[in-house]
Amino acid sequence: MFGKSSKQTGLMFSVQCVIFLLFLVFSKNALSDDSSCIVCHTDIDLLEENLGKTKTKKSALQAGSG
Amino acid sequence: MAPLEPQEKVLVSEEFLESAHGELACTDCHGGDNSAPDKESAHEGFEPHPSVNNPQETCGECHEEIAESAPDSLHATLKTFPGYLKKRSSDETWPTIDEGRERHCASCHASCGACHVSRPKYVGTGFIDGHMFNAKPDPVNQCTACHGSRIGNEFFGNRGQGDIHLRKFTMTCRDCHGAEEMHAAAPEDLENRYHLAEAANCRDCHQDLQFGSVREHRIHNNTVQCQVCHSQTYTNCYSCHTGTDEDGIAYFINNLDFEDMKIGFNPDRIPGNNYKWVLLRHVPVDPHVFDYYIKDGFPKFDVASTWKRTSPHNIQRRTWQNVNCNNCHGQRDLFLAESDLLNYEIKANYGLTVTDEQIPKKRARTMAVNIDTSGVIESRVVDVAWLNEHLDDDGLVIIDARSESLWEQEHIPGAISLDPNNPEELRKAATSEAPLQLEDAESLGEILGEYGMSADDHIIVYCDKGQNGGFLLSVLDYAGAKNISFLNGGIAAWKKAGYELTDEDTDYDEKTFEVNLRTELLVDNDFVKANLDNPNVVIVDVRILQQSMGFLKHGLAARPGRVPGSVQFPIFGLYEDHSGIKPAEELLWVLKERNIPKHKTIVVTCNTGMWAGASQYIFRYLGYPDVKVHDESWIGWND
Repeated sequence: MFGKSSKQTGLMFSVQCVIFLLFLVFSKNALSDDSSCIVCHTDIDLLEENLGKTKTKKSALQAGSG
Repeated sequence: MAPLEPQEKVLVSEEFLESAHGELACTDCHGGDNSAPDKESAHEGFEPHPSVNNPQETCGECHEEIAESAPDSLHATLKTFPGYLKKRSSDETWPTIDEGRERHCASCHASCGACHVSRPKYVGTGFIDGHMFNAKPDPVNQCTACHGSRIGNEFFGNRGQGDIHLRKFTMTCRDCHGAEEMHAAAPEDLENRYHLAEAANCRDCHQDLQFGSVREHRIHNNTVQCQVCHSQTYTNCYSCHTGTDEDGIAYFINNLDFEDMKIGFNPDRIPGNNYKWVLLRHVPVDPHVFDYYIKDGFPKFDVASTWKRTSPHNIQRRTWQNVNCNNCHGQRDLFLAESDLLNYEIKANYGLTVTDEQIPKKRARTMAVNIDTSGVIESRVVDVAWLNEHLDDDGLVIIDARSESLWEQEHIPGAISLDPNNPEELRKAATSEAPLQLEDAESLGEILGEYGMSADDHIIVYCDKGQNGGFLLSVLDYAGAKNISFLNGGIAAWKKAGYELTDEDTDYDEKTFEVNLRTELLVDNDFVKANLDNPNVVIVDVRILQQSMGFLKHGLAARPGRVPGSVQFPIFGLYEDHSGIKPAEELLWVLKERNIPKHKTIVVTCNTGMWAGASQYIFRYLGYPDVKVHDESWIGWND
């Protein structure tokens, strides 16, 4: 009696672990692949629309080798 | 290096998403809110450079050991640099000097990302490969993006012929400077980068010097630094000054740099590098670097030398100074003399300079280097003293081949401005069917006449780098000009000699330039293709090694690469910085050494034909009888 109950509990626990692991894996992918970050950062047209022009941070007076 | 567009800088590739790092959520490293509906709220709390500010919590999650040591590495801290400035300062001036250093000199800090993901901050950042993490840094977009003005230029042949490790063995930075060195934490009291225990050393690979087959290695081993015999000339910098422009942006101006080579006594003898003789390079420090912040900020300027041990990255197995004992022994100009020092730095360099008596004596018996210079056409190169004496000669025309804006600032009296880099003048438009190829005979004649030249004039051309002047002379040569000369050393040599300069306009009349094309000087793709396997034809690619080896391509080229079988010899092996030309004997030896012999037909190719033309001029000056420019060059190569 005790042994059977333990076996069922163990099986249930294993199934729950697998489900949890699958959740972790898919939720992780969801975070990277489907996040708002990736929607924008893989679309060059969208980025171009939303970003300004490059501004140089170097002074025009800078001259010579360093 | 042209900056990337903003969208290019942050565009993530599909390949990255499928990589190990792509499995992490963006927010794991960068923070921010990946479920936010708009750009602003998504970037709240966002950290663009997580490996700069939080390496242990980001990269360190997996790369624990590296994240522990790398924040103290020389790349991250530039630790030895402030040490020298502090030595020269006093307790009172150091805090101000350090503030200036932080603003002007500390922009080269490198983080994990700057070597493995993006271009470094110094060159404007931006992913180099769609956010992919590359274990081996990109030598062009990362390493030499910062180490460019000296290391990169020398290694890739933007000064000299480039480095044999790259050209012959395709070795790049990481092949010598491994992860162990790059990630090593630098001790707090590290004197200079050569003292780092993990630093790369030639002997890490070249281990058979003492007992090997090369007699010169056995003789000079442990006495002479490897680079003394195996380097080409390198750049020396002087008189850096700092300031802030109208927009509040910090800048530095390095007032003088020049290509040269100086051997001196080793100022830094340590175990493993205990050479007596080393190459010395002038560093840009000056007593007044930080005058913008504080006057007399370096009361102890003399405590550190201004000539430092250097290791140029332009190694060749055989060089002009090692081909014969007496190319080095007894050569006063090769050794640092006290007269090479400026007044303010004589004490700082005590013990480094070499007196006449200390120079190694010439050897009585050596293997002669027999270079026949009898074919050199001396009249094709004149020096500034000659020009100064002949400024008023009848029939002498002086052309300034720099940009017009530079000519407007100052030029040699009587010089006419013609920038051959302007494709509307001598070459067809980049958008035409024959991009940047030479104009036809009629157009060339009209243009050259418009600028006051006739085919019978003695035409002297000068510039500031060599390529513009050399190219214009090759066009004149092709068009049939009878008497043409390059001004050796260009405007820099003229200035150095103290001769007159002016900013006044030059009056001149148009002339008739009767074109008599020397058609044997120019060939097209068909000729090149037909001679790819011709043993009597040598195709010489004079582009920098970055391009001829396929790391980079010209903007108009369809793809990176080079003409099959071509010999790689960058044009900067012919022209020094500031358009100086090395002695003909040395150039002839170098070209022979690189299997570019006089008796064969030489076809010079580059990207657009311009550098090919400039190189052709030097070949013809040296007496090469049959040298042709590949007019289409790489942008027109369609094989």
